[in-house]
Amino acid sequence: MSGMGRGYGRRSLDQVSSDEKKKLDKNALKKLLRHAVPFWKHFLLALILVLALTGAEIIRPYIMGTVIDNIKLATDDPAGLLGYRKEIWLLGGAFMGLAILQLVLSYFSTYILQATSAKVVMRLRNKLFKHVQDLPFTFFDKTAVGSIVTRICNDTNTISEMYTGVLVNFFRDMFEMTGVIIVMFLLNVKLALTVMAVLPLMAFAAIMFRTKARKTFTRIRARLSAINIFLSEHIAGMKIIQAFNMQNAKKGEFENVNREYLDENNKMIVIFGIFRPFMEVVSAIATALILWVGGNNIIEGAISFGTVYMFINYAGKFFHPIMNLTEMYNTVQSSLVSSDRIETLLKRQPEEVPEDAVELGDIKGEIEFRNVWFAYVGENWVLKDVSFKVKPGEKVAIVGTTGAGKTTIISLILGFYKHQKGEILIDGVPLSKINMKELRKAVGTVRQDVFLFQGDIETNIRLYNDISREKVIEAAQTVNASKFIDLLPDKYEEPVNQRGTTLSEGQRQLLSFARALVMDPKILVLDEATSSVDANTEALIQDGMEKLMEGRTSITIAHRLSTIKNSDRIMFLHHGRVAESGSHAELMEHGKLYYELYSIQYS
Amino acid sequence: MSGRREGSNTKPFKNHDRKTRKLYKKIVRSGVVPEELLGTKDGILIQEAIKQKEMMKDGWGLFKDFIKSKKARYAGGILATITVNLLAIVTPIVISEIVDMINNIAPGNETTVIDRLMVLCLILVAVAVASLVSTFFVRYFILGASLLMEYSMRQRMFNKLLDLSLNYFNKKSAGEIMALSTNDLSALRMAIGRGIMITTNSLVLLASGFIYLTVKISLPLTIALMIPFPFIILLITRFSVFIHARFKKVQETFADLSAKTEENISGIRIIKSFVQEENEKENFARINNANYEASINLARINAIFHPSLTFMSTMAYMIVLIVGGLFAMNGSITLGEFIASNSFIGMLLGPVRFIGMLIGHLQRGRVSLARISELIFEKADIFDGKFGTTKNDIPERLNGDIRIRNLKFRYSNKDEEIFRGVSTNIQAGQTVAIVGEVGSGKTTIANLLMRIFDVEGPGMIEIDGFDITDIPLKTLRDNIGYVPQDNFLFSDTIAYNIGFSEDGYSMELIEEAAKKSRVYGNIIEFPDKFNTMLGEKGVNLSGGQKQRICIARALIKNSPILILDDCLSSVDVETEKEILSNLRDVREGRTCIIISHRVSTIKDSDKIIVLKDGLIAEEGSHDELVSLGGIYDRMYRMQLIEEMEINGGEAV
Repeated sequence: MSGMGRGYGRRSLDQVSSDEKKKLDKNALKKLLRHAVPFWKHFLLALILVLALTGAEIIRPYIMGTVIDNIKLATDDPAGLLGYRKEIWLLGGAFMGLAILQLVLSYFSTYILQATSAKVVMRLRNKLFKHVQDLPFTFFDKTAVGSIVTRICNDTNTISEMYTGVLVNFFRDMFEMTGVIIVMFLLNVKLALTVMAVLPLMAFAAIMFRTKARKTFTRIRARLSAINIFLSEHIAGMKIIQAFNMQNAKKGEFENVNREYLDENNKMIVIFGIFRPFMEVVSAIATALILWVGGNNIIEGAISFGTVYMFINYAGKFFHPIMNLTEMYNTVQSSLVSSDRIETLLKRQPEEVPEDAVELGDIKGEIEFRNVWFAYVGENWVLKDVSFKVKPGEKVAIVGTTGAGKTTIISLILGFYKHQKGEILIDGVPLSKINMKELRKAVGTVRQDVFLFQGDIETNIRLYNDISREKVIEAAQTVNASKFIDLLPDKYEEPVNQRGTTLSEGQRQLLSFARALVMDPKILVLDEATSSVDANTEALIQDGMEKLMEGRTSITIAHRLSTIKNSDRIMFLHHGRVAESGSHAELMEHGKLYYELYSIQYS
Repeated sequence: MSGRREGSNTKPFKNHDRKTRKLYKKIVRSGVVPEELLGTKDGILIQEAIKQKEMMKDGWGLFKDFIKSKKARYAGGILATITVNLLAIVTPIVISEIVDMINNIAPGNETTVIDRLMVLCLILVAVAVASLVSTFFVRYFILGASLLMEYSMRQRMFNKLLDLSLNYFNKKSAGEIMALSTNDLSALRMAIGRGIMITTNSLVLLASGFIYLTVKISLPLTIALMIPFPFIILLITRFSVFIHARFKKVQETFADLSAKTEENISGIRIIKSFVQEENEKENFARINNANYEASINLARINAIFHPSLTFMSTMAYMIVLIVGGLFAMNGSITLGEFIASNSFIGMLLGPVRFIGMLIGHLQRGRVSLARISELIFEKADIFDGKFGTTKNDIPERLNGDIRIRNLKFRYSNKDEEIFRGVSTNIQAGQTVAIVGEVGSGKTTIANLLMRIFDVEGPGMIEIDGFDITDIPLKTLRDNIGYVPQDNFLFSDTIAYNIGFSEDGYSMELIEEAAKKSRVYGNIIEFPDKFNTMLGEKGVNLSGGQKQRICIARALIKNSPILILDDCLSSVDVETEKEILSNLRDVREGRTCIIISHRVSTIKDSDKIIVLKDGLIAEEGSHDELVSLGGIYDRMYRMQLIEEMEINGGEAV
């Protein structure tokens, strides 16, 4: 099953060799059903109810058949008419009673089945979400947001169809089939054998149909996805199409893709158009046979009209499960695919907490890099032998040109990625011995792009931590965020949408300062935003930042002159190395990279 | 997610009181929003309702036109449907014949009866076979027509997309457009395929069944067994409202669920930084639970609805059982007729049970049709003669003398103006570089020159003295070779991508263009050479290779104007030099506009334009701008720092 990760959906089932497929089916089915195990009592109860329901269903034709026999007797024997009339009322009453019983049984079975399936899905979703929350960063870098959402939300839905549509119904159909067979043989062996005679024809048609339909169905899906791919590519490339005057040629190309899909669909119409009525023909043959054999028997006086009626009815009930089982196959297939995807996700290793983790306790805020080497891929070193030490309470600024590795330093401190060589120490403890969650609680982060959550201002500051409104307001006031919040109609309860489009760039910055401050972190890592804001906001941001950094160890990726000047130390990162390090005055004196950079910005 | 879209605005004024609702509905009918409501919340609601109504009308027009164009098919389909249902009635009649024949058998007559029994049984099979053929034609005609409708609507949608400017694509996401092509089209297909099939089928079946029952069997019995029908219809219509509401709730909570998941995963960096994982698990569990509750609510009503429906149907059987049974005993109907009426109940209940599904199909189809028609009737906003007349005396090949006069421009989805009055001249044959920060409008100039976006009015850009809005779009774009920033290539062969033109180019020209853009060597290393497939199913090219193929695609046009939009960023400095020196030959006699971040790319241009805050901040040659000591100089020096070689950590 390995290697069937995210790309699985794209591989058509036909490509998997039949051997491998069988193995997949067996194991995957087990896994798929595993989620239902805690609720086996509910499912069993639903099954019992459904079986009772099916039993009642089998009795119904029997009553009707008896009515027919009574009518026959009454017409043959007009003297006893009164008694037969009574009989009819009695049978009608039984019919009614049966209907009420069915009503009750099917209410409970439907409810239990659907509710339990919903519960299974809910639990599975929670499990998946919880699992995903603890996955390491590298997973999120490599996996598209959409595909994770699909796993958690949609694949679980597909699986629920397995529980509502297949799990219990499979047993019901089997039960109905055996029940009907038994009743038929009890009623009349000869007629029962007659019905059985068409079974091979039925089975043959069902299997033929399944193979044909599945192949065509796979092709239809492939054609539809070809249309989607074509569309998304051409929507993305619309500018090029127009710039190169290719509209007419593209119309023709799309017509081909579109036409292929149409053709496959037409084939499906032919397949269904023949199969469905063909089943009707088979069942008509069965009816004709029953009438022929039964009719002869009636004439001979061997059986009654009622029995023949029952047989015509039972023949229908007998074929019904066969048709159903064919349809269930599709549901099972798609739930297996979904289940497999879910299992692959669940197999991913979560971020590990080191076993010999050292309790950090009250963090002082000392950060040290010792000959750290880091590459995102292979030997493509982003940081090359970086060493530095930040003392508790020290304010360090990192400057450098784009791609020098500044943001990477911050990501390493937060443990988002693991460095390959060297050591990173917090308060003298190497990162490998630290529970990252504990560390992250002590580190406040401000990122360049401020991510806002759907909710209001307050929840965007305190997030979902248990922090009082007063503290939130205090933090907002300290970093100057309150200045704009107080002007909002609903102040701290002003709604914020996910992209935060109602707020300006500068306002979002200030909000993120308040968010970092309210957690009262010992260490601050800031990635200054480069976007230009007006002078007034700039001053507010500057002031807010200074207040935020007061009394904390801070590492700032600096773009603004004033940040640089106020820091205790400046590191110039150049192509993955610390090229220069020292105070502003020292580096200016040195007269190289920093001096150049400073003079460019300053002039 | 589709839950939110579905059936939106079918009741726009449901939050208003009855009187206002009536008034607003009247306004919607009139189609004009009164002045005092303009701009208010209600006014916008009304406006939307009017638009919705017009969309529905357009959609209805599309639908009618289609049905008309497929008249023969639908006539065939209806004829076949009638045949199928008439045949369906034959079966119970034959069975009833058989029963009565055997029941009334006269002694000594057995052989004739058995012979007739044989014939009747064979008729049953023959009817089934005939029914197979006609059912096939029903599906072929009606469902086939719905496929054709899907096909033609999809084609019309795509053709329209090709005529729309990028303004439309800024407004509508690719996802929304794709949803039209998949979800909405399939809803439409269901409605006019299955919807029409079920409707005609049900109508014919109901009519013929009732006629047979009343005329041939017994009027009182028919009346008696019709008693449950009104209840069944009432049950279905009543419940479908509840079910729809609860189903919508399920879909809404599901949309919340996926929105939450989407937000969580997109913001996972912040969540992990602030150690919010546990809180997020709780939040998710809460929303998940809301979805669960909604599902349970739906399950509850489903569990009542379907069994009740079955119960009601069973009541119809019971009436036949008792009333029919008593009638049969009286001799007012025969035993065969009793059995036949039993079968008819089943046949009549079928269509009734489909009503709910049918309503669903038709509703979704109607909404989808409206959405589809919105795209099909969308007005193209860039076309020949938009600002008056397109001139005919414009030569097919231009010289490339560009004049920009007080250019102002604002993207329709942005508030700020991107150009607040830009003026410059680019003489034919000159090479001009455009630099500036992200968002300063460098690419916008290219977009406006090609009329990918349109200037607000004529008089702002001229080529060879002709206003670009007067030049036919095709001529204009034929005269510009464009290399885009995102090196967009299509998933097709390399040859297709380089010879990207409606007329096509010879293989020699394609190879020559590849040589000029220094990608020929890479291409012939692939096993399939110029026939190598690109994209998902083929080779993944490096960024630099893609850029060079894009350059070849522009060069092959041999156009008087060439625009290179930041297209050398992914090639190394050596290759860049080579391409530039090649371009130098190509550039001979051509106007060339280079947009770039790299000083090395643009140093040798005849003129460099620096854009800032919607205006030209600096303009001149490299040397001139460096000595000016402004934005360009700073940019130049930044790049010098980047190129500086420093060894090791040099602590101070």
